[in-house]
Formats: sequence, structure tokens, C-alpha cells
Amino acid sequence: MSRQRSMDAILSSEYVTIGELVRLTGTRYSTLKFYTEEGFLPYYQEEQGLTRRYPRKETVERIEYIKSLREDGKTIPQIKEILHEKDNHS
Amino acid sequence: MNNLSLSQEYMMCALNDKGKISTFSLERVIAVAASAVAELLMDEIIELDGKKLSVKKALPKDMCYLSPVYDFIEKKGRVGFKTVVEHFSFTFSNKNIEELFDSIGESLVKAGCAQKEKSGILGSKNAYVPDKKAVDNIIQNIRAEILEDGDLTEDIAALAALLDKTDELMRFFSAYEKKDVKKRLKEIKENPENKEIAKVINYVEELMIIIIISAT
Repeated sequence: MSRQRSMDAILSSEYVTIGELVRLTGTRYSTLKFYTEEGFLPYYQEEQGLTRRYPRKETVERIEYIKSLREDGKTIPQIKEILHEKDNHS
Repeated sequence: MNNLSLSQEYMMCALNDKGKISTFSLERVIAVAASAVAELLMDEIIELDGKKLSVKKALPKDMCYLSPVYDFIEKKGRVGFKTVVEHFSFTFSNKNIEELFDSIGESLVKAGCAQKEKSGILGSKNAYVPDKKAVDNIIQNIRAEILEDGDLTEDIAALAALLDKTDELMRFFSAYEKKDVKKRLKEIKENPENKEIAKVINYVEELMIIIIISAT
């Protein structure tokens, strides 16, 4: 069993766990889990039952983007559409 | 975005809205001392040989909030786990536990996670009012590890075990989640790959049994 990584280690890591995303962004676990289930946050998982790993930089940016869309009053279905279009054009 | 340690996170969760640990909750007072010992063990600053604790290396500067416990162990040479925890607990008016409470409390203020206030008759004691958002972050982090598939860190397992043994899980987790937390803790203890963390959880459990026996 490993130890919890320091913030410095997390900030220099390519991939992070959902727990580390909680620490990095201050976003609630339930929110991140919901975003993951909705497909808003792409992740990598070696096998079923193993830890999901998120690309740190892209995921933090995406969470900030979703937060800004929420602040602009966008609903979850609207956000889903915006992210879908964004992903298809990139 | 705080980098709190096991003892700091446990204390954040154990403090009430007035910044104190209830004097009626001896388990929580003892768990603060236990979290300090567990943190020193996990960071290999001290070691446990049989039932005796001893210093292994110097206390790093960034862990100076644990100096009351470290200094006590260093002074004693080899000392029982139970003796250390008893020294920093049992009566909250005791200056030893106040020293540890203030030491960790000040570190929380420095980290921007708590606010120092005066309490008690004539304001003779200190209280450390925890920042609600910071407490929520700690709980969200436990949720994110325990309720997800995959790896669990020693720090989170030890913190969850402390919260479980001091009956604080119900303050932060739903009945449904609590069941999952308990199930996960049991799995950790029974997995031979998790020897070290099982040791920490066992320390906590043994301590709580000692408390119950001592208090009756």
C-alpha cells in the first residue's frame, strides 16, 4: 500500500487519481464522479477494478471550463453538447 | 489545495464548530495522540519493536507540530505505545494534551485551515475553529479513495480507521457510505499485502480497547 502523494508530486505528475483531483481543484468527489460518468472527464484504466487515472493538465483545465460554464448558467445537457462539439473539433 | 498530514486531518475532523474537541469524547482526545504516533510511524521517524516505540531519525522541520510526542519518546528511549498515548490524553485539562492540541492547532492556523480563538474561563485556553471547506475537502478525499475502485493510500486508510473507531464516520458519511467504508477497512486488514496499514489500524483498535478498559 502506497502513501498519499505530496502536492508537489501531484503537480509534476502526468496522471492523477480522482482523489488527487479533489485536492487539486477543490471540487467535490460526487461532482467529479458525476462528470466522469457523464463522459466529461476522459480517463485511463488498465483493467476493471483498478484505479482510474486522469491526464492532470487537461482534466484540471476541463473542470475549470465546466465550472465557468456552470457560472454562465449553462445546464448539464447544454454543457454535454458544448463539450461534445469541442471534442469533435479538436 | 492543502497538504495536510494524518494528525492534522484527523484533528480538523475531530474539532467541533467552536474549535474544540469535546471533553466528553475521550476517544477523540486519545485518537489525536494516536494519529500523531501513527504519523511518526508511517513516516519512519519512530519505530515499533514489539510493543515499544523508539526514535529512528530526527524530526523534520515541517513536522515540528508533532514535537511534543517525538520529544517524549526521545526522552524515554524505549516506551510503550500505551504509555505515550496515555501521557497525551485521559484528562483534557492535562497540560500534555493541551500542548499537543496547541501544537497541531497552530500548524492548522499556519496552513490557513483553522482560525485561532480564545476559549475557557477568562479566555485561558485556545480553540481552533476549522474551515468548513477544508474539512469538506478532507472528507471528499476519503470518499474519492474509499468509494472508488483501485488503490487506497495508507494515510486515508489510517484516517478512516480513526474516524471509524471514534464514531465520527456518521458525522460525515451516510449510512450507505459508512457500510462501504467499514467493508473496505475490513478488506484492507485482511489483505496480506497491506501488512503495514493493518498494523496502524490494529494500533488504533487496540488503543480504543485500552480506553474502554481504563475508563471502566
